[in-house]
Amino acid sequence: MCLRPRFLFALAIGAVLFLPVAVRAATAAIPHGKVALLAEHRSISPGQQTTLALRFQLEEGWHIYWQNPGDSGQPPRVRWQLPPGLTVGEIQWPVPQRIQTAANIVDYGYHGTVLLLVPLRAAPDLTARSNATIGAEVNVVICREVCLTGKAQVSLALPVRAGSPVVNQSLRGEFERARQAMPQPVPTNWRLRATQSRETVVLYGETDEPISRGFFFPWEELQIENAATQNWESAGNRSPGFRLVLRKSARSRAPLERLRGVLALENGRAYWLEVPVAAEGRN
Amino acid sequence: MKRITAWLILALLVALAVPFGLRAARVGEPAPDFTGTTSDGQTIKLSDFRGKYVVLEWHNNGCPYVRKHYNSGNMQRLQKQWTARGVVWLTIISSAPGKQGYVTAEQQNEYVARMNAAPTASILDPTGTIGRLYDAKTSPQMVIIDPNGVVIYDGAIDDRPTANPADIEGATNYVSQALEEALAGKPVSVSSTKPYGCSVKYPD
Repeated sequence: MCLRPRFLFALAIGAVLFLPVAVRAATAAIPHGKVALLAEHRSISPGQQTTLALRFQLEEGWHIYWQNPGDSGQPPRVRWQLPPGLTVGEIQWPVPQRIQTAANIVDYGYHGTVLLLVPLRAAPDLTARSNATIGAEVNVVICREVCLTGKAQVSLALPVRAGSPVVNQSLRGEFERARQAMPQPVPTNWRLRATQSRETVVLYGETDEPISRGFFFPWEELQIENAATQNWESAGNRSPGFRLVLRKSARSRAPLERLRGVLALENGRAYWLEVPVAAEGRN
Repeated sequence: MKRITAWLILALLVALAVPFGLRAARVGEPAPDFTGTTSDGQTIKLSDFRGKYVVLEWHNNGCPYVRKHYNSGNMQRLQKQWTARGVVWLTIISSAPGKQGYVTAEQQNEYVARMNAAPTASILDPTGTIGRLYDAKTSPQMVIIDPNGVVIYDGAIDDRPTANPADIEGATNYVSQALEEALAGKPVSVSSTKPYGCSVKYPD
């Protein structure tokens, strides 16, 4: 087979013009929104860690899902494409919202703009180079009243350089806000315990200040009935605390060993908690 | 007068709460009976099928998770395979008018013909009454009832909670697994799973 030089030339021009756009785009469209891959630093340093973010920007009314989607839907799934020497950790999920779609259906997810943070680690022997390309194939289910699936390819090229990496100032505020949106550790002066009956699990908290209301987001599916009313009772101001009654999932008959999830308070704070649950009939 | 109003409100609240929590179908318990209108214009009762295994399939033809199983032919295969073995297969549509998946009888008949689907009947449930009776949360959601009228399976169609048709191959189909076991006289090994899919589009 003999290809004419003019054709080869056109092909080469085409490759130069279109490939970088297609392969390296940091932002890509998804149905009713877009997704971008961002890095907190301007370069990668061998032996150090930086943070990546998948930033979803959704049209009004549309939502994507938390890692536990609740009664319907599915969290975004990411397939990473990484050069040797780079590894990513688990996605860090910000505090979700409760999304009720029917009397018996409650989902957990995000509206508007949301950043999923992902740690990126570089091996100590990673060689310096002008560009290391990090790619992510994002599969997402996005819903309003109806659900659509989307698939997007986003990529980011960062230089590998020795020394301390420089923070990308233009994204600094965004990464800071993303960290504030993460559940925080429970204050050290709180005391939490949980008990259960056949149908319910009760979380008791002794806290450092009165809390008027809170909501529990279960980390695992089938811990509690998502659509059941969460019954919150605040204790008096003298010994502040609360009692939260949750209905166990009708699908899991086995006793709960622990309650894991996010406790979001009315005052805007949210805590990550993991509380052993006493066996039935014991307090 | 005020007291009567209060009692009425209380009674209404209780009546509303019942379908959502207390009476919803549970594995190991009797399947709540219902009467439904099929896309062929027939009125059928669940209890008419006592003595047979019955599969309930919650359906919404616009939902990507449902399309996964219909566009691949997986759902139709299951319908044919099991109705050939005497199982009654009821496709239930609980979408409200104006919402995704709502169909008229003609539209559903046309869909069944076009997709080469083979349920015993399609039941139109635009008020969501049957859906709520079974606390159906997603499409698809699958329920199996044994010849004695007891729920023996409730949950997902299989163990791959995605909308991707490529995930059908190699998946464990919970409906087939439960029916195989039950028909062989064995206990159902996986009888309750978390259903996956789109939320059922109940009336507001």
